[in-house]
Amino acid sequence: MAPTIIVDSVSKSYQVHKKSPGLWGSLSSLVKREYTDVQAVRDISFLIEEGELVGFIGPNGAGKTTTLKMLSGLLYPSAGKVQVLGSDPWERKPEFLRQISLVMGQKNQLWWDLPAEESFRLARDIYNIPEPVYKKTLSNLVEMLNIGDVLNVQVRKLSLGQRMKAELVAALIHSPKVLFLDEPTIGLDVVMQKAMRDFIREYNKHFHGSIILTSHYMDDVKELCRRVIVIDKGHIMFDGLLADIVKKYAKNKVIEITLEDGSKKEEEVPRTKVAEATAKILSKYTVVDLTVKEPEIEDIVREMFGKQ
Amino acid sequence: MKKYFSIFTITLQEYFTYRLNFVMWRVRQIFVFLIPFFIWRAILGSGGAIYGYNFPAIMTYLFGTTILNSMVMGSRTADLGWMINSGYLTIPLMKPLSVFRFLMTRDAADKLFNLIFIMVEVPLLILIFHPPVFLQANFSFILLSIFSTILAIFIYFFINVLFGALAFWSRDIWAPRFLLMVVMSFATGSMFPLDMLPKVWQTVLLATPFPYLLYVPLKLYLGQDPTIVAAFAIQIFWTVALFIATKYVWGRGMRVYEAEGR
Repeated sequence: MAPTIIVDSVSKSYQVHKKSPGLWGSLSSLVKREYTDVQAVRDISFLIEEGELVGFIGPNGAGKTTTLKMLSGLLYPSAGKVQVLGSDPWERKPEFLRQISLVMGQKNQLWWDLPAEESFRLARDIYNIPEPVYKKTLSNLVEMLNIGDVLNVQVRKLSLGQRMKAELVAALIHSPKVLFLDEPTIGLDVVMQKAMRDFIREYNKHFHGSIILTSHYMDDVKELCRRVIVIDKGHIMFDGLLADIVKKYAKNKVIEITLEDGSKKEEEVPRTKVAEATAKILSKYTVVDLTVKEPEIEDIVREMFGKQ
Repeated sequence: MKKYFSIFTITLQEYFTYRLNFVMWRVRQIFVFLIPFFIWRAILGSGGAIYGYNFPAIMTYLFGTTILNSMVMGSRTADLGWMINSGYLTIPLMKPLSVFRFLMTRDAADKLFNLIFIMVEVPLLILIFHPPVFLQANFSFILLSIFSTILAIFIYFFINVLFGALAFWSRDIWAPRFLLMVVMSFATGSMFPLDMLPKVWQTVLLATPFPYLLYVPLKLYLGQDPTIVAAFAIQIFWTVALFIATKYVWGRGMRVYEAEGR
């Protein structure tokens, strides 16, 4: 079977109007405008299979959201080819739209002035979901997200966490085969972030949809995704198993020791010299405990972005 | 079709959420009607005629445009520019929906809402002020007027989408929108019947799509002017031309849509 998502040498550039500073700059821009092309995404390619949960990581402005928007058919790629579920997202065919969903943190698709349940019911009709299926999916989602008590509260009165949960229900009520999650945990407190992650994991397990998740919280990615795509300045820097990032990019390991007096020390040593360094430490100090660790993913990724 | 019906009902539900806003809106509409009513009564109330309009004729015109206004001019599509700039457009775009039908449905709900109240208010106004109103008895004029009104609804929609679509290229579309509002307020004939203008101006205006929104459908209802039937042909031309233009501009706009902020 063909992969769910095919991205083949895709680029996207925007035209940005350049203004010289100050009032004079503003006035002269009324007459003559200069435009510059900003490359948001440069020649990226990857494949995503059915049921995969892939994390997209990168700093702000790296091109994560732009890529997601091209995959969901909102943006027209400047070059290259995108195929999702066998069709070109840009054509926005109803069969395609019925099988995908896009959730963007912070923003909402729920009807602000009405209870969330009204938005769900509208989604039922828009996606043509038979009543029994709708009821079953809704009760599943509501139970998983634990929001049964706020369904008939006006959306504007909900807390951010409750609203994000309701957003997810609205986005998943038609059981999409591909789910794009753009910063789903942004602005949420730690407890709510965890609830969200647990839900995404469960959802992926039970419904086998492909999920692409962008986040700049490493915890989201660490906990959810086996595979990650690291993107920076529009380039893909890494695409593979999360565990392999460590192997590939972490040149050092961390030796942590606990001394007799209970104090702890950490030392970074090159991978190849771990045994040597350990022997040296053991001969030098009286050590109660010693662990050799991989460095934190955050640190590795930060280093990757820092190097460019 | 069921999905659009649901959009229709949810739009109405939204309207009923805020009672004060809703009452004030109706009050405003009544004022919009009463101001010209008193002006014309002062001018023509004691008899006589201006540009061929006596008091009953102008009153019929006034009532007619009020009712037509609520059928032709919906206020939802006017949000399109805002939807594009805020990225809200992404929501209907991501659903198996036609954006045009989505907007038209929202407009239809808006119109039904206004029309229901107009149907209560107009008889009330007639009861209070006893204005003389002409009722057309010739069925063919009524039919022609209904057709013309349907075309007017489409023309208004296309004009709004075209102006809203400016937001694809320009961040701020307040000025063009305002210009459109000003032009619309007189070129459609909502302030006064356009045949009160000098012949040259009438010809110029009738070459634009605006008079076909209110003036022409109403004139067809009144059935006084035999040349107005020719105007019906121009109206058909404008409907088709604007439809083609809208499709084209929308297609171009979608290519530059950046779905910002969402």
